[in-house]
Amino acid sequence: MERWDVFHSERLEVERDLTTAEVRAALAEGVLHEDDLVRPAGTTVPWARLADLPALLCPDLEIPTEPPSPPGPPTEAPLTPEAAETDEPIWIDMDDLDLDLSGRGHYPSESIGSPPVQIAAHDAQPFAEEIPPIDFGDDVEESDPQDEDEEAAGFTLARSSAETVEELDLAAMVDVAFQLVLFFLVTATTVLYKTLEIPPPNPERAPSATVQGPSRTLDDLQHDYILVEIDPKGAVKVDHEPAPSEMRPLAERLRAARQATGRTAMLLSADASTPHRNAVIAYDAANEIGLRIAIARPGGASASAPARVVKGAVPG
Amino acid sequence: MLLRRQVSEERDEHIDMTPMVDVVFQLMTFLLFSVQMDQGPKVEVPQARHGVGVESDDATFLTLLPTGSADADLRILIGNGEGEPATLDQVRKAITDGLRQGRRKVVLQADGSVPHGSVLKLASVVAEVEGVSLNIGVQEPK
Repeated sequence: MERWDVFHSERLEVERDLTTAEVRAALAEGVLHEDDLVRPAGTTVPWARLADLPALLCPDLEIPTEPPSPPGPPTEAPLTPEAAETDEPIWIDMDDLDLDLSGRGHYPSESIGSPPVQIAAHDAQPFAEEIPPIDFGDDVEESDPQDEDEEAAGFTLARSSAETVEELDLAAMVDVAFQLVLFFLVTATTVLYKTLEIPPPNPERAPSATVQGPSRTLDDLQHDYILVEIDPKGAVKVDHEPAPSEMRPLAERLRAARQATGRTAMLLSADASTPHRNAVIAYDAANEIGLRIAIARPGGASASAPARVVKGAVPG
Repeated sequence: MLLRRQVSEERDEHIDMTPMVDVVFQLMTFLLFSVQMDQGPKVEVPQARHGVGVESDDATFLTLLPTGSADADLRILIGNGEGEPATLDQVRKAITDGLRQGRRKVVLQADGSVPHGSVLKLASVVAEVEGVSLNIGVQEPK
């Protein structure tokens, strides 16, 4: 009776010295499949698929004494080991892939690590020439399924979780920090107080004591200064004529007065009881067009007292 | 085979932000300590467009509060809107002391409703001290 060595391609195990009847029984029970490999027991001839040996499948046929052997000496697979190790991507036609999926079980354990490469090789070569003769005598016992798992794990594209925990994403924190820096920068610039510089009034106080020499009246001064008067209600007069009390129209009015007469300074004569903000409007208007400023001491209730020109004006 | 380009891309993907974060926090700490949160005038000073900036370290601040009537005495505070009511003599002394410390400007933060005469009265006191310039506190138009 012919005896066979059988290679279970799914379990990657070799069973030796099975009789033809045992092989058929295993086939019938489903333990063996048509894709499993078989060869005469104790020989080193290349493995062949069970499906390629009809005599083993069907009891009526005569069993050939030898399995079909390749016509010539087995040639090397076209893919050299060096090529297989370089991990170069090999593009596989999807049609080829579909065709060959059923034949994956042919390959011994060494070739399972890189199935696409082997599929391409299988497609290119006739079956008999493809599989190099491999002695399974010792290697089969060492082919641990765990190796395959580890090899498969090496191919995973997902990043391992430990790596992601390692690096915190600092971008959000940097954003917030920059916002804070900007805030403090902007608020720090408000340290400056906005002020209008005005000439300090003459420190001499009592109006009666200032009558030294010829006192100059507002009318005298009008040759040198554009006279701006503000009454207690805030109404403005420029050169005794009513003028707007808003800053910009007043500035335009002062500009016209300057161009008409060539005077370059403003004499402000505001009533003592008028609110301070009205005087500031006049200061601001003079600064707008670059007039120098002089401040007349207000007469207050005794409006008859002559106004004095205070100290030198400040260039606007 | 991993292409070299892929390797470098993987490396450049994460820029090390730690030094930048350090610098940013340094900046933030510096600004935190340098900023003074109680800025701005404490009284409703008039609005003006052409005010010039005066640093608070360069000037002696006087505050003139509204009194309600034109005849009442001045309500003067030495400082920017805080402190005890001061007399004119105390004002002179404060300005003189400020001048010794290099503060050549006097900023008069007068409320907009204070009578013009009161402002000039205080201004003439300021003018008694030689060597200072007088500034009227204003604020940006809203």
